[in-house]
Amino acid sequence: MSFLRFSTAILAIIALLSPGLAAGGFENAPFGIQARGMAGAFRAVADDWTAAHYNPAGYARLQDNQLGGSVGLIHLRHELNPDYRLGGTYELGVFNDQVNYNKHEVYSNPSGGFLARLPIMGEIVAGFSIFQPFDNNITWTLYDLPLAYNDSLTTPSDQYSSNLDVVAFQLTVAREIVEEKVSFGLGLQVLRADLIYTNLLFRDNPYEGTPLAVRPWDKITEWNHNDGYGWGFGLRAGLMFDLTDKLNLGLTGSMPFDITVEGTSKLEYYMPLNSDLVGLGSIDGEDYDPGTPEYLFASGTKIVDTADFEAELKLPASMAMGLAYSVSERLLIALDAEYTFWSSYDGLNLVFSNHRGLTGAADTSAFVREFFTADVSYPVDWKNSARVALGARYHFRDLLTVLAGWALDQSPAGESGNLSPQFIDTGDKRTFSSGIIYHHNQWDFGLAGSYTRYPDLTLSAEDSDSDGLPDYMTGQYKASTYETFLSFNYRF
Amino acid sequence: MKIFIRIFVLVLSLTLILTVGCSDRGTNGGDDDGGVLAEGGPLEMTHIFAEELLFQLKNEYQFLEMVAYRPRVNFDPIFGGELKPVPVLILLAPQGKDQFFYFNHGLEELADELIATGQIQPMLIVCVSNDLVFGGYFYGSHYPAAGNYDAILGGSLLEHIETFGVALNDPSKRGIGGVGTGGYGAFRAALLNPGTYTSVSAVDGPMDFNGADNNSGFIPMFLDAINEQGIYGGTSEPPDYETLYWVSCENDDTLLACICEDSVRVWDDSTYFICGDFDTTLDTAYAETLYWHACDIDSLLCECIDSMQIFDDVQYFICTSEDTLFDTTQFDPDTLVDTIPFCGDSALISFEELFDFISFGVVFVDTQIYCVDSSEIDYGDLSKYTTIDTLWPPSWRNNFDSLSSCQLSRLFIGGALAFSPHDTLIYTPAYNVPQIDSLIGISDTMTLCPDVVGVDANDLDFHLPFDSLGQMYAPIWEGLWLPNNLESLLAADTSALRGVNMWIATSPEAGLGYHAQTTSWITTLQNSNHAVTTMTYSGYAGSPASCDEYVYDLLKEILIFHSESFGE
Repeated sequence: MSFLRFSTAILAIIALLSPGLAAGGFENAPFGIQARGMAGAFRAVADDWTAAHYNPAGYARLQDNQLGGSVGLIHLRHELNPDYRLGGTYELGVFNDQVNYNKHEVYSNPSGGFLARLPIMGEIVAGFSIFQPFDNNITWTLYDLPLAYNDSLTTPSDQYSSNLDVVAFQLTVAREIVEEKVSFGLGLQVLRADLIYTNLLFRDNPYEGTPLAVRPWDKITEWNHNDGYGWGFGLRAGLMFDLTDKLNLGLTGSMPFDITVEGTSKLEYYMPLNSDLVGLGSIDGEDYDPGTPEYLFASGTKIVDTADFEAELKLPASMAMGLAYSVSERLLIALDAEYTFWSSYDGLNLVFSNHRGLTGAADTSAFVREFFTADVSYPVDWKNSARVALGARYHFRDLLTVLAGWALDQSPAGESGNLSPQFIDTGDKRTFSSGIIYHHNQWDFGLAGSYTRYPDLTLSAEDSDSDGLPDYMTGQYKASTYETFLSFNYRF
Repeated sequence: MKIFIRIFVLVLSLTLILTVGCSDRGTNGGDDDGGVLAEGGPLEMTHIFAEELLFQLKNEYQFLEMVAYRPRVNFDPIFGGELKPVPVLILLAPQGKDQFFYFNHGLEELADELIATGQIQPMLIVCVSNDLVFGGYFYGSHYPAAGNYDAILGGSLLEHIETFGVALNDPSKRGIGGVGTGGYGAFRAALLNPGTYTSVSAVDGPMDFNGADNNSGFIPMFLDAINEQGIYGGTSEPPDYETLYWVSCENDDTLLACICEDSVRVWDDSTYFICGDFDTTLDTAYAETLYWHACDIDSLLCECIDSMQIFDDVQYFICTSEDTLFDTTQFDPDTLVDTIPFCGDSALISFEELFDFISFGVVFVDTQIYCVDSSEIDYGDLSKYTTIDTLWPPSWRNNFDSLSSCQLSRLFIGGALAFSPHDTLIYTPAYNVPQIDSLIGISDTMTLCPDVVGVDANDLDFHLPFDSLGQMYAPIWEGLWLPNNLESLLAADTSALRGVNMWIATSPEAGLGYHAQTTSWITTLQNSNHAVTTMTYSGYAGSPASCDEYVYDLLKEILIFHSESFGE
């Protein structure tokens, strides 16, 4: 019991300290009906195929072979009322002072797996599963070219977007180490990361000090669209202790390795149109001749460059522990705490190469080519974060299981202000979830839903690089997430 | 069993509500989403003001360049208009900017947007060019040489506008404004022509020549103009030939084959040479990067001795010293006073030529203008020499140039042509009649700049309000400039601005001291019980509002102000 008290104490300490700690981020586990119905408090339970993720050691305790699958339907309903201006005063074209919504989209998150008990090394349980440990998907339209900047061009709707899917192909093996006392599980992962990332940048007009670079043409609008993928590896391990007949303790750790994402970037520059400077309009003013670099900065064309890109995706390690207590044969409660080392994630630094879209002066003038081919970086300074979850499961006879849970999930970004439209995590989130599983013979059919409430956040401007632009998209953020899960599990 | 079904249906319903309840909230859009309807377009209005501009310098055809924004309601019906006369707003360009200045800052699109959204009423916006040769004349002269802007803005321009039949000929529907010297011109026009304009707007400009304390404003900038020209201390007397000269040599590698005689200064504030008994070469960048190489002629050792600053031809400063003859005391670069007379025999020499003449690898002169006599002198084994004269100053007044790089000088030249011209001699081929010189005929020649501005075979002279030391010269400054100060014009007619709506914007970051001048003018207006709407603005990090960077943003405010002044 001393170990039990110790473990309980550790969990309690983590739970108490969690608001002051700095597992949110884009970590993702929208699969497994039991786990989601219990808000993720599943590490010391881990009694279905989804244990591959929550605690691989749980496989050792499963007596049936299983084949299961689930799909999560996720809807991010975020709001952003920006206050993003040059020097806090001058408009750039961002839809300030109005409530903007992320693009309406319900995206799906499928997963599946199977496991089997095998007479190897005595007896082990092995399984293969596919799921997404990391996921982020959001798109915003927040900008239009400012008045008089260039009326002949329009920017795309997916101005600020991020679609990151990290899929784990995991082979899991588990066995009991101490019979009916301790079991161990190990998952070996091959990770595939797919990234589509778009962003708008407001670049300093290189012709500062000339008529080409006065307001509103002092900043050049760049939109870049980056689409790539990469492969990597990861490990996931777990221990399960049967402390008493009613109490279990689960310990897990996860270590994904960095993934190098490579792909293609499209860099679009929405150039200023000042017809008076290039003689295109009805007014014949001071002219810059076609073919000159200066002409590019007044003639209003869209310059499109294509390049290869490479970015290092530094996924965070995490560790977690959980307790599960069987209050009765029908009722079980579970408590989980997870700590994720988000500080290792430093954002996206896109390094471009093989530029192949520039023509004319944009290509031949070293001065402007340097402008059009500059690498872009989206650094963040995230903090490690914790997540605490409390869940309950109740069996109604043998036909129905009811699930409920609550979780507190810290943001690695909110307190440090590292927010962007592509990643909104405003602070400590609270998730409420519930679910139901209908058992029919060897089949289980589940349905669960959860609602996550984010704290409102007003992000004020900081300009650490003194370019007049806030470092992050400043404004008022409101966010909530709705998730619905459907699952089946076949035991044989 | 029923209870299970009910629970299942309940949970299913809740979940579906959550999912379906995630209704589409639409697509975000900005205020100007979808583009702006073209509510108007440009109208060319350049006009010959034969009488008012007959003698204006370098304007032989008497053009006043103008272009206007014409609102659509003013168009002919076949172009979707109503031929409806509208109020008129005259906008004067700042120094050195043309009639497209406001268009180049988004005027057309802004006007379209503001009209389309009902924020302003349709109006004709006439944009007047400033003079591009001398930075303009403050739109402030009745002297022929600079053009009679007082007459133009007081009436003949309005008559010209009326010929288009597009504007309301009603003073209550007429405004004027400007940026920089255009702002001065706008207020000047309103002051000298009471009842002509109902609204005046201005953005940082020369609104109070001598500042709030009568000793600021332009006055501290006289010295800046002299320094900008590089003629500080120049004498107006005939030159006194050579007392200082520097002899260099071709064989620079050893530094030993050079003979130096006396000191020399290349005419640039930060460029000096010094030659004493030893061979000496200097890097010519400013203090912290000056490196002095002193050579002990006996030991044949040369040593680099850190930074060095010379502030006149007698005292020298160095940071450390071993082989040196220089005084190292009293180093205070901020108080350096340059007493070396002007080296007036300047020659503009290309960088390559300059390098060939005097750099010799170790001496680098970062200037294009310097005094040079490149005659070769035989010094025995030394084959090539460069001698630099430093005391051959011709009149500084002959060297006050209107180079485009000298914006401050151009400001004063333009002002001098407007307020203190000496003559108006201009050859006007259009009339093929040489005009008579010295129409103004100020007899005082202390600050007369003669033969500076040549027009064909003729010239044009003017009097600067300061001397070669940058000191205010009272007869010109007080006698001819200050009477044109807005404060003086207001004092001359204290009721001129009564009933006129006024709007002034100023930025603490404004260049040319305009912020202080503008705030002083605002204070003057307020102290004389004039209501004036003010706006303070500033730039952002890395982009201060020093000049016309934010006209785009201010234009919106200006247009709204005038529109409201015009009433319904």
